[in-house]
Amino acid sequence: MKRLLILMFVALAALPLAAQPINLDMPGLRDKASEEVTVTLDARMLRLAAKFLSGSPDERNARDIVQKLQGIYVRSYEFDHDGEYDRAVIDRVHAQLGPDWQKIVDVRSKLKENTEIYTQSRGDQIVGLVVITAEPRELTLVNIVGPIDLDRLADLQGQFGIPKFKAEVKVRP
Amino acid sequence: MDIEEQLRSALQRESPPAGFAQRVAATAIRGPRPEARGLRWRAIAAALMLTALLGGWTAHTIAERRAGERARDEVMLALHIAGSKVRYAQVQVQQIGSKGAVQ
Repeated sequence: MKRLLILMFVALAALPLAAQPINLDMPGLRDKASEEVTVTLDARMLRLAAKFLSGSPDERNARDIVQKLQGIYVRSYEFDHDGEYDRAVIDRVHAQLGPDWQKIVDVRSKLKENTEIYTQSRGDQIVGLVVITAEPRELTLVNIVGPIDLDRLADLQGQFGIPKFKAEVKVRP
Repeated sequence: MDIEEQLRSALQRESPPAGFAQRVAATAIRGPRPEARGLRWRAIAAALMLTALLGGWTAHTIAERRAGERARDEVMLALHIAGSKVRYAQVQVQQIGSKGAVQ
């Protein structure tokens, strides 16, 4: 009984340490977007995906990253016209980032995309990542939950080809 | 008794017991005993259950494979998007850093 109580106390104490996903689903965005990419992968789906990531070296690298994660969430929207989405959406994402989140990159450009990168750390380890990329006609929100190496993640982008991916990419006429 | 005598004695024709033919004919008409019929149904039921289990397991495996392949594609797409955005930010930061170094 005493052991059980101790275990319950430890589990409850550890709850706030577990990184929580950010809500990236903003009302109204999907309706206005001409093209949309939605990826929602929780820990269970990531474990399942890891079983199938073994073909190429790229997939093996991806598997090494994914195995430690608790979630990957991506929302990317393209619009037909400039300024078609409400910038308040970005503020709604900011509002969810607690004091343990730190902005590590803020790239502002008049011509290209504005990019903000936020990380959540436990000691030296990054355990959460939020990327917000805003362009006049495109908005991308990324949330990665779990320990992640940014350099390794950045290295991966150059190695991937565009995957065979149809189901979640919704192109509207 | 020599061997030939023993063989003759062992192989000599014997008439079946009284009523043997009638009993065989009656069994043929009546069919197998109820216990045997029950056993047959149990075997059929077991075979059907095994088939259903195997079918279910196969369907589950196929569904899991499809879900896994779909999840794999989604992981690759998500990491591609996230990686490209982080990469872009890194390059921008490096460019700003190199400009600052030149100035």
